[in-house]
Amino acid sequence: MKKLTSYTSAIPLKNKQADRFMLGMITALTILLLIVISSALYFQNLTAGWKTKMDQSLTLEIKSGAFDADMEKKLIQLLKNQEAVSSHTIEKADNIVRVVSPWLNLGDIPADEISLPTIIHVSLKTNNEIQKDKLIFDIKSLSKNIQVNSYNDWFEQSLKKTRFLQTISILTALALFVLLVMVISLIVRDRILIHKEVIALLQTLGARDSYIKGEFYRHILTLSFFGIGLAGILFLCFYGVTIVFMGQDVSVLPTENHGFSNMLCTFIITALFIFALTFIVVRTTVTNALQRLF
Amino acid sequence: MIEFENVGLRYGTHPEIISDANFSLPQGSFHYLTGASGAGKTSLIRLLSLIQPPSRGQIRMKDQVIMHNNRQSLIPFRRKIGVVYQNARLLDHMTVFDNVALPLRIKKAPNKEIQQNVKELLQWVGLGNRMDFYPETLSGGERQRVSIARAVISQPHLLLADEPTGNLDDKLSYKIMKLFDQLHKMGTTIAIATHDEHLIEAFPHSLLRIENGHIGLEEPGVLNFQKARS
Repeated sequence: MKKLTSYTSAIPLKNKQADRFMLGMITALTILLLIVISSALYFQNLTAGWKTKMDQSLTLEIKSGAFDADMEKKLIQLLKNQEAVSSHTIEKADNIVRVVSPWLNLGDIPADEISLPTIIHVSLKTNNEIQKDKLIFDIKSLSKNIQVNSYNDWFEQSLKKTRFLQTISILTALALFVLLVMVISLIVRDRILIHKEVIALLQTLGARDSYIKGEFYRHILTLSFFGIGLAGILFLCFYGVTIVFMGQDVSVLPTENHGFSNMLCTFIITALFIFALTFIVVRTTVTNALQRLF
Repeated sequence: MIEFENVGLRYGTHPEIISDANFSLPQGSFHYLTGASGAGKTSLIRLLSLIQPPSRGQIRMKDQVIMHNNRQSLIPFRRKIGVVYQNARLLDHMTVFDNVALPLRIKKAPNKEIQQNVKELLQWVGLGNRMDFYPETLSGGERQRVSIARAVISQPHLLLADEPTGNLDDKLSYKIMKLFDQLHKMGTTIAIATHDEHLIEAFPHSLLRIENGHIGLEEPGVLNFQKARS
């Protein structure tokens, strides 16, 4: 009796080999899309973070021996009087030695015996470019020995590289998108041709196009569901591995502070996108094929 | 029931296989479609089942002109027509029950109605004990009976059959024809394409003879099979 009430699809769309291939393609493309989107978001957030930090800081480098008591007094006075300045710190000589010693092979030479520049970090309240330029002008007016470094050149170069990587990621995502559309469309068209006689019979029995489309939706969207689920599990593993190897602060996923929730958000959006894409491609392909072939 | 008006059918650039067909199948009638092999019996069945659009002319069903260019508008008409094929055309991946239930499932009939009607009908065609069998395990006669059950499950107004006994021996052919006869007595309009003169003699009804693309009506008792053979 159980057999009599069980539902069997009218179009025998099940095909182990083709189904495995399609499942594999959907899984692979979903996970690749997830990684590409996550990486693009990560780089975007990273550069945004860098930009904010750099826009709100300056580093002053004063030549060795030029930072006397008079200059210190004038400079501190200037920084205190500037509205744009939030705070400033003078880097200790020991710290500078510790940072540069691996490159200069300084060994155990005491800091006071090395000719070191004076480094002053200045934090700004604002990233207003006009106020920043005025501050730099005023500082440089104090002495020609003061070099103001806003890291703009270095940042612009880094930004270019990041943008290049972002463009590559977007192009890869687009290529994957096109590939996924083609794969689904080809498989659906292939199935329609294989089962042309069955579809013709169903039409003779009074089946509407919606009934035939429903058979395809049921089969292919179920495959997509499993493919996306599998991709989600693999992506979670990838996420775990990046945390283990790179540490939570440098998670390869969307932002440093909200890595997991953003990962979940990225996954849900990607899953919905793949699901909707599959639905639209199946619908379009079946509609076109039915109009052309029958 | 169904009416042909100046209907012509040609495939591609070939000459017309059916020319100027003007006939009607009244409600509750029984007709044989006969003619020599390749005369166009199957094409006529395809036209009658609204699967094949005519190259010219008009087909009317229940006084409504059939518009073949709008596929979705054909559906309500197709649901009033049952078709039985020579090779049964059952779906091998589905059980006998599911095959017969298919037209009702397509119509989204309630499950209770499907269960009841399919069981009753399979009992009627003598396959009550074969419901959960797959078609490949059935004999030719049983397959054809399943095909008939599938064609009549949704109570069609017009039942078409294309050489339904073509692959069966005389005894089985007779059984199948008895089923058609019973359906006719219940009021179903029936048209059977066949060139089996013994069956036509055993169950005499009107004849639509196709010859050189033209269709002529012959009443029972004036059959001329030599004409069909030529």
